[in-house]
Amino acid sequence: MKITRFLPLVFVLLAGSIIVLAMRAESTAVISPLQGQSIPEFSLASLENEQLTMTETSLTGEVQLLNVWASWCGVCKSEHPLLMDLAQQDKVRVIGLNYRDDRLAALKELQQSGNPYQAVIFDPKGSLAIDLGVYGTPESYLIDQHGVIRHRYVGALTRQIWEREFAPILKQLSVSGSLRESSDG
Amino acid sequence: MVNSIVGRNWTLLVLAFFISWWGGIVPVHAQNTQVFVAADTDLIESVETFQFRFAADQKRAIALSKSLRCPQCQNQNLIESNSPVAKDLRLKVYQMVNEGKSDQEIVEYMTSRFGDFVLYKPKLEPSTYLLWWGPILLFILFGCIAYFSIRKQI
Repeated sequence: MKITRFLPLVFVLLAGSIIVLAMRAESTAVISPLQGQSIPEFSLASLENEQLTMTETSLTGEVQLLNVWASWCGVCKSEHPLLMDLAQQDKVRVIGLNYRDDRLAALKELQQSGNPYQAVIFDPKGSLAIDLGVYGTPESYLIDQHGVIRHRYVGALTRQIWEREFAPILKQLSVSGSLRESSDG
Repeated sequence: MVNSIVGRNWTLLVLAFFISWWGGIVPVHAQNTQVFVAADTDLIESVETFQFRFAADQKRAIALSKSLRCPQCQNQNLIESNSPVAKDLRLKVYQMVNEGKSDQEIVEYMTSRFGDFVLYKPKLEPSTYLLWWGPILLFILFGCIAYFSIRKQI
């Protein structure tokens, strides 16, 4: 049998493995086009206090993790223990963005399972979420002292993801932050 | 006889492949009892009964919404999808068209938030050259192979 008869098979196998490999590679679609840009302007009420208006300046000053969540979101519950840990160990200031939720349902959820957030932005219409390019919950954004988005992750956070994707950036930010402070003083 | 056995084996193989494939996908969705919340009725109403100033605008807005992919349900456009994000974006497209914004401005608004990924028609740039010119390359390659193999036979 001629070897050339197997050429199509070889080509198909080659093409197939390229496709499989390409599908395994991390999709670039999850990388936010906003990475490296300032947080968009917004003016929304706080979840806990209707009178309190939060704006983009509420998200500056120190490094923080903006976590998009909702009480109806099942996956968010799986990352909740990690967020509680991060908040308790004071690793980062965690801010919540409550997405398309009912105020009472959201408050009840925090009361029952614990509140890792220093503040929660209430976004029932998803207006800030649209400007951030949020398309599902949960999502997490690491924001630096100047309100610039440094990293985004779509999906539930796990310890591995935290250590791999967030911790190095956080470390880098806190080093540059303390350097600036010491040079200022 | 032999053929029928081989045929049956193939069907079984293909069936097994699909079952294993499906099995790999389904549990992901089954775990999350609720993937997203339904769009609220106000939003649905304002999208479905949106009043355009000009009839031509409506045509343009619908055509544009059809050319944009829903970031949440990734195989539906903004018209087809019922997810709240799609409804929101559709409302945004309608509003921007009504304000007289150009198609380019609206596409820019979407891609600056959700990335090039929302475009059904990819941009022509270095990273998509292969995508755009690949079929032409394949066609030329096929033509060459066909030409030489036929010439060899003659």
